[in-house]
Amino acid sequence: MERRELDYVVLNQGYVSVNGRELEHEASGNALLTELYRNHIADWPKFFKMDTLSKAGFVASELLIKELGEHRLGSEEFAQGRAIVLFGATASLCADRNYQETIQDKDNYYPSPALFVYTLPNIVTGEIAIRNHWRGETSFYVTEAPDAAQMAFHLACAFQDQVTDSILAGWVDSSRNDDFQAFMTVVLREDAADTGWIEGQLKRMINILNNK
Amino acid sequence: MQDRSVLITGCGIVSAIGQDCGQVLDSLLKVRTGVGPLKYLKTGHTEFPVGEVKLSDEEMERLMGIAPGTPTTRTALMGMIALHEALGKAGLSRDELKECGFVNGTTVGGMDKSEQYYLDFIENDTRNAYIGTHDCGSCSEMIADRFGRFKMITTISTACSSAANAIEMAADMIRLGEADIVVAGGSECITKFHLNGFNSLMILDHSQCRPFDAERAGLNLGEGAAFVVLEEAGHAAARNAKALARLSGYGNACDAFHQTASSPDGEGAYLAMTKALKESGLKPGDIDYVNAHGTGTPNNDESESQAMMRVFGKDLPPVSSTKSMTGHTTSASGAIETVICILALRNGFIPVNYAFEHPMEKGIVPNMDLHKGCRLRHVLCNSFGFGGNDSSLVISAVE
Repeated sequence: MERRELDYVVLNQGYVSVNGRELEHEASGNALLTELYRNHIADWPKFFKMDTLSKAGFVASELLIKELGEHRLGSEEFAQGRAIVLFGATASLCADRNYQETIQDKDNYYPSPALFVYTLPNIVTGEIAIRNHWRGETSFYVTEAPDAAQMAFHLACAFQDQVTDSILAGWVDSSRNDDFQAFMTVVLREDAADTGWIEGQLKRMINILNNK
Repeated sequence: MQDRSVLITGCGIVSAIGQDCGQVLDSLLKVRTGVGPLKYLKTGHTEFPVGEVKLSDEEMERLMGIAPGTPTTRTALMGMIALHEALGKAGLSRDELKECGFVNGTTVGGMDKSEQYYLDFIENDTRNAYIGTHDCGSCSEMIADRFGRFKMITTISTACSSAANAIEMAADMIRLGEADIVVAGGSECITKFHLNGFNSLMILDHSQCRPFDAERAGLNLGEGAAFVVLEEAGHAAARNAKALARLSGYGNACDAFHQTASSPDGEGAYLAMTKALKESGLKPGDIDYVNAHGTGTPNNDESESQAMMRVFGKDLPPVSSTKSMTGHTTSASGAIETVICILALRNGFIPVNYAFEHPMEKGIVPNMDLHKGCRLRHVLCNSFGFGGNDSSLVISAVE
């Protein structure tokens, strides 16, 4: 059967592309995320509160949704059936470290909820769900490196619930503040039966991410 | 749920208002709060009233016959006490557990001992055994392994909806034919970690909490454990197990509003209650009592009020938050309140919302009368977690 290719976004500290088209940019590291936000998103100031993991995941998801042309706000189209399944290696360790530094000083001790909320890796899935009003399944799996077969398996499992129609899926990782890698795609229920095909599509994206 | 309906054939509880079902029932009927000055947790924050289980770790160890010095945690000890009662009520032998699943809800896990021994972990090797008891899964295993070898053990950590979600997962397993009996619930002790965390969110009341009151100022942290034995109806009949109640529906929904707070219109809560009702095949008018999440925080009680008014309209059944007596037992609360609902169903009364005085604007007015001798058919039990991870259970009387 002739199939369309899955749409995807690949992003790291010095590179960003949508369906293979590289987006122009000047900045790199954390500043790249801010530049992408200002040029392509700009209407979600909560972005500035986020940790790097959430920023990277959020920006990748926004670029992808834009490419897909999905209606977002005011639309209940995906409210129940859109799941988010992300994978990463270092979870929230980067935010954990940043947070730890803010509670180091005994004389000026204040554990800020605005900071410690990000010391969980699945907050990135929450940020994306909140932005889009999606109320489906959200999960974040911690695994050593992006593995297309493993990811395809978990996506197939997520479709078992009979509620999920589509999944925002991908890899998002940030081991240090100026260092992040992400790719993101949307997999539909009709694609789900052919796990091998999904695995092949993910493999392609992983290869691009690994070579950039 | 027609094919493999889910009965509750055992339950056990330990909380600030009692260390078994009988004591908890007595406290509910006498409207006696378990919230009071802090006694067992070692912290400088003695200004906060809490709902502690009135036993030291050593006393719990003695109750469970655990040799002094055996590495364990308060979460595990409370869990053992509640599981012991639940298995006893269900009449399950050690041998039968080989065919049973065990699903435990906890988020704090063994944090209590990590706080006590953290400096030892860094400076010497005297307390290393407690590194292994830190994580949530190890607490579940300590609780379960005390009584035998369960077929499977798993842990759910979705903060304050953990135990309700554990019960939902257990029911799913029974309905899908993966098991005939799954014991589910939750256990959580008070620690400095989450007392301080809730304090920094400024959601702790400095006096007795007042759920749904216009002057409510936050929650009182509680602790405890509870488990229910969920059993497929045919299996229960075959072994002549007595059903205490039926789990006739359940729902879980995500609010997708904020990382920690609930939405003002209670969308997630509304969805969870609606799903649970739909699955039970009942109408809102069939519900005779709602055990609310009712933490006493300004945000929750407003949001939950809105959601309940949306679900029930003008025919709101009596509602109460028993957290006014137990404190907020966080990850265990869904199971503790499920057991309280079973006690209400079986003993024909409606738990009182302790310490309520002033109705809030656009809020619900909670139940303040025990209605002793009333006949409850179906009750709804709400558990809402951080960030609007919301769950609702419908528990029904059995003939």
